[in-house]
Amino acid sequence: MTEKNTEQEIATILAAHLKKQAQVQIGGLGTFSVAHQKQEQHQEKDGRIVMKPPADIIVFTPEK
Amino acid sequence: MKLNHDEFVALLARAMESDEGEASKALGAWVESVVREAEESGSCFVEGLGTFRKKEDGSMDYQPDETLALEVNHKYAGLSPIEVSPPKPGLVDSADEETADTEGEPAAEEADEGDDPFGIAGYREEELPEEGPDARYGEKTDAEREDDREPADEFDREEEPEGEQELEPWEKEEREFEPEDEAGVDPEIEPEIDPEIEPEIDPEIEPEIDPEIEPDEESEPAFSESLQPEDTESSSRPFLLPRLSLSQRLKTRGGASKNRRSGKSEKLMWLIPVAALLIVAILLYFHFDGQRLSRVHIDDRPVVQNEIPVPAPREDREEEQVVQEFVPSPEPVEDVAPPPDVDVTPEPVEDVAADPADEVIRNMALPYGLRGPEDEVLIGAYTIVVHSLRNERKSEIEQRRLENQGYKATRWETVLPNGNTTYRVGVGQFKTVSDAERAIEELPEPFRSNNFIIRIR
Repeated sequence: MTEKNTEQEIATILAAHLKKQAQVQIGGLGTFSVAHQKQEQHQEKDGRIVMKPPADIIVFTPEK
Repeated sequence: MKLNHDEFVALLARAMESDEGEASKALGAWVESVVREAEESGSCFVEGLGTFRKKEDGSMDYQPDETLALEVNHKYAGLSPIEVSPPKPGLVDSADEETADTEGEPAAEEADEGDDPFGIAGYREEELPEEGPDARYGEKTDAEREDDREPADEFDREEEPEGEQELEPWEKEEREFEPEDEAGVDPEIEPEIDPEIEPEIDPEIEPEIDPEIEPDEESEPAFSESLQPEDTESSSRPFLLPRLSLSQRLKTRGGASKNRRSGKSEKLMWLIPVAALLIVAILLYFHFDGQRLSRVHIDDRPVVQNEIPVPAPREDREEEQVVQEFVPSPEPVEDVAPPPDVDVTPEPVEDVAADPADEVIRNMALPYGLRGPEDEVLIGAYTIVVHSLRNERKSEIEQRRLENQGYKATRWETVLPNGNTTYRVGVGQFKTVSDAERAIEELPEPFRSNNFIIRIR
């Protein structure tokens, strides 16, 4: 298996687990996880109060 | 769900159709290459995963691929912020401020109103004389007006320079008779009259002066006639300054009547403050008398209670405590207990919910709310999304289930930026975000903790 194929396999496995909201740890690199941001109100610079929509975002924590 | 390094290696080995040792070596080699590339070139892009960057502090940073981020966030993809309240006027940008500056007239009007809280700024000075002396003096007689006018004239003489525009209209009429060369005579020369001039007074004019006039007032005709010895009263009149001619006219009309009128005005001047003082005294009497009465009434109550050996009920005991706190204080307190005829019991608060009028209003607002049949979808209303599904049939089932539970359920499809379609199911229709947030508290789990509010478009 070539190095390119290995990279594709790693990306596929990682993405599939992240879509399932799973936390994935890779030694030497760090940990990938999905965090949920709740909808919240905040005030813009022009005074408008807007409600930010919720979101699921990918969070990466590098290994020390 | 958590996938640790060993589990990941096992999965990779299965995908590579090799053993875990080989997969572990391949994974290690990939990690090393990513880190090295990030250190050497600043960033390393991995297709389908994202970009790794080396930060200044030596740690690794990761920016996920857009496609992957969208897939992970598929439930909430395509949502945009909802405006809850419009911009505040105080926080307008500079462009708006410039626009506001161009509208100077309303601002100036506001400033005028602010400077003139009583609304008299628009009342111009030139409008005042149009009222005329009659309007200024109300229903007083002419003589009374002049009596009132004299002290004012004396004051004016000290404070203001002489000028046509400052004279009253009737005063102007008198001034028209003054010769131009004599019009500017300073009235203050009156005290500087040489007493030697007095013998030059024409004796024929002397009898015309009312004998009741005070000796000090005799100097006025003496002054006027000494400078015009050879003519009649009419010829001497124009020579005098307006104030002098006024006083002389009064004297010629009758000094006694003047004294009487001045006596009347003095009485009036005294009567007004006396009457005001009387009114204030009466008001104060009733005010403090009312306090005293209420105090007496309260003082009486403990006596009655002492006569009853049984302990007072809780309310009476509270009243007694109030009395004990109140009676020793010698100072007049404004917040005294109410008089006995005043009903201190609080008015019963009507139950708002039981009001039929409110019920009608509530019925009129039927399209809004969490529960009930959804007759129409209100564009612009807010709804609580509880399902975001890729399967259309499943979304229909969830919608029907919610409707069977009594919720207003709405279902619609959303095309995500990556072209995929998501079917969302929302419950309720609300006029404001706050209403929707309150309704979330009524939702059962898992909807209560897993939902989001969007605007129906």
